[in-house]
Amino acid sequence: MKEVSRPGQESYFELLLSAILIGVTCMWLGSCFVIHDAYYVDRQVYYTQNPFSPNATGTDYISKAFRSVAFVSAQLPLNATDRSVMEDLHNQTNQTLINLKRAVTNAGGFMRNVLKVTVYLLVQLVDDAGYRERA
Amino acid sequence: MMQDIEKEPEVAGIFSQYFEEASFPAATIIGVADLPIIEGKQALVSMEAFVALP
Repeated sequence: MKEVSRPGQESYFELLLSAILIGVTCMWLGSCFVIHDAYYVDRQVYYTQNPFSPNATGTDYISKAFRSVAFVSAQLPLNATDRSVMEDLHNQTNQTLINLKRAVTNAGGFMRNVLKVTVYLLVQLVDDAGYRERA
Repeated sequence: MMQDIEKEPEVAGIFSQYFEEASFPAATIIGVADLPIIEGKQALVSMEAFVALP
């Protein structure tokens, strides 16, 4: 004799299947969101505010960090203590490197981990024959 | 105008005080027509750098 299921008995099984499907779907969606969040966080660019940047540069930030690389920019020969600027290239280079070192440290790095430095010199200095002879 | 930093001994000499020889970074010098005037004085040099964070 064929067993006749009572009304609603199949729906329990369907409900169970649905619940499993919904659970699996939620887990999958959740993992997507987690991956998406992680992806987004990795994509974030972190800025470090520059307390020493002069207004003249129009730069409010000294570094941008992307994952494990920071970009430190706009380092100028400005003494952070008295905001003075030396006249000669030697002292200006020295002061700029002091500022660069501070910026690198503020960004969470060390000077030994600096990969690349770009030095901008006034083109008159680079072209100056007298400077070349002195150097 | 771009050149190797070793061709500018005055700048390269100061660099060696801040970077150890073993970890001396790649460095280039670019001649630019203008740099900011700070506190009434012309900036002769400016720098930027890429740093690997630990």
